[in-house]
Amino acid sequence: MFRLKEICLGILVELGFILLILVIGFLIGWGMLTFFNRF
Amino acid sequence: MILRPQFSDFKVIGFYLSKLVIGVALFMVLPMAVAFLAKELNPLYDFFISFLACLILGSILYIVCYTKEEARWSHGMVVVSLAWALAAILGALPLFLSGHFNSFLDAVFEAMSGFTTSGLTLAQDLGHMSYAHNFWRHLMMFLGGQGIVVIVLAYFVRGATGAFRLYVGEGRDERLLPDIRQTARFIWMVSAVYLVLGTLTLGIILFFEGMPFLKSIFHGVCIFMTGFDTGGFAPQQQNVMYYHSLAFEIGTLMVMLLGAINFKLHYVLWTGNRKEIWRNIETRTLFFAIMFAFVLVALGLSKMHVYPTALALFRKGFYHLISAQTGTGFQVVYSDQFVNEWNGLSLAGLILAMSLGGCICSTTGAIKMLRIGIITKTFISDVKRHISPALTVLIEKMHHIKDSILTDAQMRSACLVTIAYIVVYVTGAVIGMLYGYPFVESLFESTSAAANVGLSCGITNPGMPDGLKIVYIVQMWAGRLEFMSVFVLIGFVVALIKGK
Repeated sequence: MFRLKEICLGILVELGFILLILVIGFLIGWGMLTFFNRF
Repeated sequence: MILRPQFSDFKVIGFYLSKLVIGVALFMVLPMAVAFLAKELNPLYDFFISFLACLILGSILYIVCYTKEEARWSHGMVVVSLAWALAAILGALPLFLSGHFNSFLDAVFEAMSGFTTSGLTLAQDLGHMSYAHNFWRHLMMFLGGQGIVVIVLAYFVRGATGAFRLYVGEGRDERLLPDIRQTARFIWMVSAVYLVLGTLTLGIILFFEGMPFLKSIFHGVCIFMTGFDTGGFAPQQQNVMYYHSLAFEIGTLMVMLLGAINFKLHYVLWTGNRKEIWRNIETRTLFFAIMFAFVLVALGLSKMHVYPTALALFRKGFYHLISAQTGTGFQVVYSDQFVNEWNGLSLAGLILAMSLGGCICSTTGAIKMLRIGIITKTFISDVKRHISPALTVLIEKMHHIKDSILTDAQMRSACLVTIAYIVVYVTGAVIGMLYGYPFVESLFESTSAAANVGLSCGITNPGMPDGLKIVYIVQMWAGRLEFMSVFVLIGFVVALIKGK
């Protein structure tokens, strides 16, 4: 029922989604800090 | 008229419980093996005594209560709620014998925190705890995250109907595969695949950070088990802060988020439907909930200039936000720092994240994203209804694995569970205030316990009042079971007293 290729691709999609959350989280933090440092 | 439970009801409940008790005994063999390998003689005795106690109790229950009758819905719910309480008491035996806990109540608190994947700890001098006891703390979390009853389902229960009733009672109402035992085994397969990948990744990171190889693998497996099962225990008193490593923190962030994903979504993604991750109502809600809560946290921390750089804000602020949202409870600051350095707004962001939780049918606790998604859709639907012409028929759809129409029953159920969680969070906070703790700290700790998170702002410590320990134990237990099983247990007791 489960094929190795499908499992690997599934895991990659999950990791991609998580990386996106981390990157956007970092950018929000960076944006907030920049804003409060400037104003 | 309430019917009094019959002797046969007790036999069914006792029979299923006996399997759980024997299951707990069998899992104690693993820390015994660790004690043997690490040449820890006293811990080996502790686990052998506890193993024998569980095995004898389980065998007596099995023989006395043997029955071929299948569990009804009420049986399933009562078995599950009693099973979790019993597992905490039995799991506390070796912990109490370790000498790292002030009292048996503290050990039960630790075991309940472990099995419910909460992560609040009353252990003392963790740095000197034996490998075997430390491994048992983390193993309890791994077993609890999978659902200890799911384990029993996968390997010990014969009838599929009875098995499904136990599965639902444990707060998991999604069937991934037609046979519930296959579902339980799939949950184990996902965990096993990630256990190997996660342990290797975390272990290798620690090895390159300078830890000896075997120790890095031990820490890797422990942190993976508690991270993926969104528990939050760590082998050291300073939790994840002990490692002081950016790579390790990113690794644990990924593990925590993987644990917060619905097992059904894992199944769909692993069988080829990869677009589901962008379309699913739960992952979308999770994404926006994280971002919204982090905006609050980042606003509070940036305004107060608590962390001077974006990287520091990411490593402290975002890390705790993810730890709170996924219900893990890993900490990279001391508990006191939440009170002394973080302001009200950033703590409110964390409390919000803790109260919402991750995806349904994952290892997280709290209200959960599917319910938040449904409530949001209900709210939008109501607004649309008010601004539409009187005779307009509005149908609200959602996509969760497949397209479906939102029903009134789904909306009512989501609202009821959400209200129940909020009542429990607030009740715990009020009791905390009665013991003299300030409002924000009380609400933070109460939410952390009931949502099975494990972040602490310092209230949870061995010196806290016994009454509050009991309140948090009950909150962790009820929160993990999502209340319904607990209500049925209360109903069962009432029927026993008042039934005819």
